[in-house]
Amino acid sequence: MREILEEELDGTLITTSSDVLPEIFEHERFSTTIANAVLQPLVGRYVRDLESELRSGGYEGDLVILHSGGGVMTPETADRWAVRLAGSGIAAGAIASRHIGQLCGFENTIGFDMGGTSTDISLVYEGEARTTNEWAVQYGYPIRFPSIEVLTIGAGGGSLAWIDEAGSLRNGPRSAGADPGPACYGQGGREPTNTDANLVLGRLGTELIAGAMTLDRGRAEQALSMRLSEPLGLGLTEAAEAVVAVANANMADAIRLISVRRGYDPREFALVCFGGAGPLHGAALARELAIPTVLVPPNPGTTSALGCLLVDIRHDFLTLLLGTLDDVDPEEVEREFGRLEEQAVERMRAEGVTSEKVELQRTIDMRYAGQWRSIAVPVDGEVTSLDDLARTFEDEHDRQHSYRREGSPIEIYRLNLRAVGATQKAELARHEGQGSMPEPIARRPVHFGGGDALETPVYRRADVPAGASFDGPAVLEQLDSTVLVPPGGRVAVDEWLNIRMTIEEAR
Amino acid sequence: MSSGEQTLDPVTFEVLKNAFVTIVDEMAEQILRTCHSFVIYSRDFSSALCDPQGNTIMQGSQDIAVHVGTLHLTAKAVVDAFGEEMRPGDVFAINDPYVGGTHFNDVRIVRPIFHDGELICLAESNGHWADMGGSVPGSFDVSAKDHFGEGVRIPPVRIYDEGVYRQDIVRMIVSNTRAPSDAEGDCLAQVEATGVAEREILRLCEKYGRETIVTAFDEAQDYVERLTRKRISELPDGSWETEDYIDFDPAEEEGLVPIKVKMTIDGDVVRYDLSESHPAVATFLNSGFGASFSGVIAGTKTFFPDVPLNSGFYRALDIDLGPEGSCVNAAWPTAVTGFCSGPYEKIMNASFELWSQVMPERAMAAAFNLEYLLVGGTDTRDRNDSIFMWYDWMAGGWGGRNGKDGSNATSPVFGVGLAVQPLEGQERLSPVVTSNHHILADTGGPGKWRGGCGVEKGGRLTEVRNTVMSYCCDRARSVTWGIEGGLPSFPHGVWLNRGTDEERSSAPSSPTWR
Repeated sequence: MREILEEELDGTLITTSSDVLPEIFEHERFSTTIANAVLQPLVGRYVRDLESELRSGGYEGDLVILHSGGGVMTPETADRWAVRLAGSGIAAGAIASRHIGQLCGFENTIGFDMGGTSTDISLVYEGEARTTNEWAVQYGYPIRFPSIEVLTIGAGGGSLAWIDEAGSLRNGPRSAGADPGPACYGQGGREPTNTDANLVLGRLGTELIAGAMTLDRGRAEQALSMRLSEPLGLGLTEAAEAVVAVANANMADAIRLISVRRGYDPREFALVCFGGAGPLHGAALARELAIPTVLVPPNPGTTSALGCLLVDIRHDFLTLLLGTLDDVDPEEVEREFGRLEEQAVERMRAEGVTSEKVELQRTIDMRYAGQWRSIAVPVDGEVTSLDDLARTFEDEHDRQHSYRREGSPIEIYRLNLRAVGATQKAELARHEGQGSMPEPIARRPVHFGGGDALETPVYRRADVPAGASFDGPAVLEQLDSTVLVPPGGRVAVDEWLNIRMTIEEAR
Repeated sequence: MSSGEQTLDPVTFEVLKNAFVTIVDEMAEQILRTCHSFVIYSRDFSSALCDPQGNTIMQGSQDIAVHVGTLHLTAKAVVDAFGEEMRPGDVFAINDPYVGGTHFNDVRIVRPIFHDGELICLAESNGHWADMGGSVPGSFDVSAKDHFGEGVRIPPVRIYDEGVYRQDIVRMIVSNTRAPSDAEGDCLAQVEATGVAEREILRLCEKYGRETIVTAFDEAQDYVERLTRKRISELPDGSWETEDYIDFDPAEEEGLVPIKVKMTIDGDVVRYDLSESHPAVATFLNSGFGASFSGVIAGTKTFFPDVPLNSGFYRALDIDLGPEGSCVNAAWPTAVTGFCSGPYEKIMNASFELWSQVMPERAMAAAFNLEYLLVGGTDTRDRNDSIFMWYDWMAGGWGGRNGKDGSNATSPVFGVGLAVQPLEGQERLSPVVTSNHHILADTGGPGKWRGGCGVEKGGRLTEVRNTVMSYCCDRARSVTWGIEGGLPSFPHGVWLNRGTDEERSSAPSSPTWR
C-alpha cells in the first residue's frame, strides 16, 4: 500500500501503522501512527534545517537525536519514526538523574525536576530507568512506544495557592505561569504562589539570576496575607509555611505513586533534585519520604539538557507471541528472538554501529492466563526452557502485587528486544580539592517550618569548591537555582561539584 | 458524627484529603495491573474508603458514577452482618442488590482496616465480573423473571479469615460462574487493591497519629457537606417535576411505564420524591434502592462537577423512593440486572431536565441509554469448546447543552470513565468479526443546540455453537427527549440477521434470542 501511495502521490510523506507500531489494539496503534504522521513533516524539516545550520557553522561531527525511550537515533531514523521524539525532553531528565546518581555511587535514584509550572518525577532502579508502554500525550492520545516513565504533576514555583468555597487550602494545579507570574515578580500577579511563599520564608532571596531579576517581598506578603492568612486566621509566616507544606505533600504523594506503589522502598534511593525549584524543595521531600540522600547537580536549571549528552543509540523491537507455557515451544521463542536480533543488527548497521558494538537485551512479557497486563521478565542467553522464566515471573508478580496464583497457567504475551550501541559520552569536568568553605555573602533569617526563623548563612554556589563540607542551615544561591539545606542536613561537595546532602531521619 | 466544625489545621486537612483521593486512585491502578475480566480492564470498576459505619470518606478521581453512590450501602451491609466479629486480616465479599448493591455482576470486596486492634475504616473495591451464572452467558438475562435466573447472590461472606484465604468459599462462588478462573483472578486483584489501601492508611496513621486520621475521615465528609449545602442554599427554593418511562411492561402488554421524579429545593437541602413511580415490571429493568439512590446522586452531581463525592454530599439530599415493590425500589426476588438501562438511567436523565430549569446556564438534555449487547455460547475455535462472552457496550450521544451541541459518540451516563472497547481485543477473545463501527450522522435530537450523534456497530459471529444474544437497552419507544423546544433523538435498537443479509429481525426492547 505504501508503495502504491508513494507512486501516486509524488512527494507526499506516507506513514503506515504496520511500520510504526505492528501491535494489537487499534486505538493505540492508530493514535501512535497519526502522531507520527503529524510530526513527520515538522521533525523532518527541523532536523534538516538543524543539520544544515550545524554544517554551515563548521560542525563536522555526527548529529543524533534523543527519543523518549532514552536512546538516540540518527536524523534518518528520526525522520521515519518522528513520534519517537514525543516525550523525549522529560526523558532526558531521567537520564541525567541516572548519570548523576551513578557518579555518586547510587544505582537507585528518583529524579525530581521541579520547574515553574510542573514537576516531572522519574525512577531509576539498579541503573535502569523505568520504562512504560502505557502513556499518552495531551488530550489522552496514547503513544504506545516503550518510553521512560515520567510522572508529571501540576506543581511548580508558579503554582497558585488558594482557598476553596468550603474554606480549605489548596495548591495548584493552576499556575501563574511566566505572565503575570508570582506576585513578587511585580508584573500584576495578585495571587500567592509557591515562589511567593518561599520568598516570605527567606528561603529565596530577593535577587534571582545573579541580580538580573529582583523579587518584591512586599507584594508577596500582600498576596499571602490578603488571600490566605486573613481568611484562614493564620500569621503571615504560618500561611507561607502552609502553602509550601501542601505543595510538598502533593509532590511527595506523586513520588510515592511511582516508588512505594511499585514496590520500591524510597529508603534505598537517592533523590536527584534539579529544575529551577527542585533544590529548594528537595530536602523537605526527602525527609517526608525518609530518603536518606539528596543530590543536587552543579547546574540544576540545565541538568535535563545534560541528559541528552549521556545516552547510547538505542532501539526497541517486539513481536507478539501468545500462548500458555504448556503450549509454547522454547525453540520457537528462540527462533523469534533470532529474527528480532537480525532486525536489530540491521537497524544498528544503518545507524552506523557495527554488530560487535551492539548489546542486545531480551525480555519476555508474561502474565497469568487471562490477565491483561504483563510483567517483563529478563532473559539471559539462549532460551532452552521456560521453567526458570515462570519462576521469575511468579516471584516478580509476588513482589509487585503481593500475591501469586499457585498452579494457575502462565501465559507469554510478547517478546521484546532492546538493542544498544554505545556512543561516546560527554565527560564532566573533575575538580581537585580539599576545598574549604568560603565566607558567606550574606546572612538572613530563614523559616524552615515549625518554629522561629534561623539566622542562616547564604553562599554563592560558584564559590563553594570541590571537597568542601558543611552542615545546614544554609542557602546556596546560583544563577539557575537556589539550594536549601535545612538544619540536620550535612553536605559534602564532590569532585564534579555535586552537592551530596544527607538528611537526618524523619521525625 | 462530628460537630461539623473543622478542628484540623488547614494544611493537615488538605494533605490528608488529597492523600485519601490518591489512595483510592492507587486502588484503581492496582486493579488494572492484575485483573482478568475484559469488562473490568475496560474500567467497569470503582473503589472507595468508608468509615467504620460504612459512610463513604472518599471516591477516586475516575470511578464509575453508578457504583460510587452505592458503595457505602454495601459497606454498611458488611458492618451490619459482621460488626464486632470483624478482625484484622479479614476480607469480605458481597454483591447483594437487595441490600444496596447494583446487580449481581458487581462484586464488592470489603476489607476492614485496623490500627492497633481498633477498626478505623473500610476499603472497598467493586468490579464487574464477566459472568455470575444464571441462565445466559454474562448473566444479563433480559427476560429473567426473578433473581434466580440472573446469577449468584452473595450476602456478606468472609473470604479471608485473619489473613487466611478461604479458597473453599471463593471456589463455591466462582464455580457457579462460566469463567471460574477469571472470576477468582478478579477477586484476588480486588483483594490486593484493598490491601494497597490498608498499607497506605496505616502509613498515614504512623505519621500523623490515629486520632488525626480518624478525625480527617469525619471532616472530609463535613467539608463536602458544607460545600454542597452552601451551593444549594445559593439556589432559589422551589419544586420541579418530570417523568421518564420504561418502554413497556410485558405483564401489562401496552403503555409506557412511568418513573416520576419530583425535586424540591428547600434552603440548603434538596428533596427528591420518587414514590409515585410504577410497580416493578416483569423484566429485569428494575432497580433496587441502592441503584436508584445512585441515579439521584449521579444526576445531581452532574450539576456540581467540582464538588468531591462522599457521604457528606448524601447528607445534603433527602431521597424518598417510596414503598418497596416499585420499579425504583425493587424487593427480593425481583429481577434487577437491567437497572443500568432502566430506572438508574431514567432517573439520571429526569434530573438533568429538572436541574436544567434550576441552572439554565448549565442546562443539558437527556443522554443516550446504556446499550449492552451480550452474545455468548460455545467458541469452536478452541479445541476445548470453551464458553465465549462477547460483551459490548456502545458509545452514544449526550444531550445538547445551553450554548453547545451535545457530545458525539462518548461513554454512557452509567460511568464516564467507561472506555470504548478495542475491537481487536473483542475479536481476540470472541469468535466475532466487526463489520462496521461508525458515527450515525444526524441521530441526535435536532434543535438550536443539537444532541450528540450515536453510533452504529455490526459484527458477524464466525466459529460458534449454541449462541444466546441478550440486548440490554430501553429507548426504542421512550426515546431520549429534548428540552427548551429541542426535539427527541433517533430511537435505539438492534437487529439480527440469521444467515442471510436480507433477513432482519428487529426488536422493540431488550430481547433475548437463542
